[in-house]
Amino acid sequence: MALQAILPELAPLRANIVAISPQLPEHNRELIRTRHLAFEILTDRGNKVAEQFGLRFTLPDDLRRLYLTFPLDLEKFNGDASWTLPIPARFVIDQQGVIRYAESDPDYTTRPEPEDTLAALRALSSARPA
Amino acid sequence: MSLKAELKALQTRLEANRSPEALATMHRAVDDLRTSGATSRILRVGDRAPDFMLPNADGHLTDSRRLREKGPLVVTFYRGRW
Repeated sequence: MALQAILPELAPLRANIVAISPQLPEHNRELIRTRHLAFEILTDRGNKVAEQFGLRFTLPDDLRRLYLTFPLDLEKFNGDASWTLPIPARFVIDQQGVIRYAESDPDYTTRPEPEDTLAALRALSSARPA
Repeated sequence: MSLKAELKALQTRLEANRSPEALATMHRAVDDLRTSGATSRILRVGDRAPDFMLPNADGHLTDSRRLREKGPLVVTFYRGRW
């Protein structure tokens, strides 16, 4: 994940990162190991937290059938029969729990620019009284 | 890996060697999400973020409130490594 690249910039901003995915923890372990990720990936079984952020969607039947031919059985991969996924998204949440930056795109081949996330964090940091 | 390189690799992994019919199904699902109004439910700047407690890769529960009280918290939603 490209987020890894901005990690060194986060410490002075006192910011933390977590990723959230519906996949089972064993897949998150694998991802952390192979990509040498230095942040946590949390398992959101059934996309319940994604739903609270307004991101959960149910895959249409034709896409389910197609995924099964890949083969990708989301039911097994996620340990959940809902065939739901989160719309890819990123948020910056301030210390009071208010969203200060939000970016999402249903297109799975795009990702938010890490630089935009950093800019949002820097703006928060400079707005806070020393 | 830079974001550009990462996205290229992602697109290759997801879309390489797929039939035109398969690609059409995948792209239609993306377009439907865009046009269905589903994205209008997504929380926006100024909204209150739900707090959450979820297991990390080792099964230990992580509390978002404890993290955000230390400083700003970046939360990324990720579909999966497949």
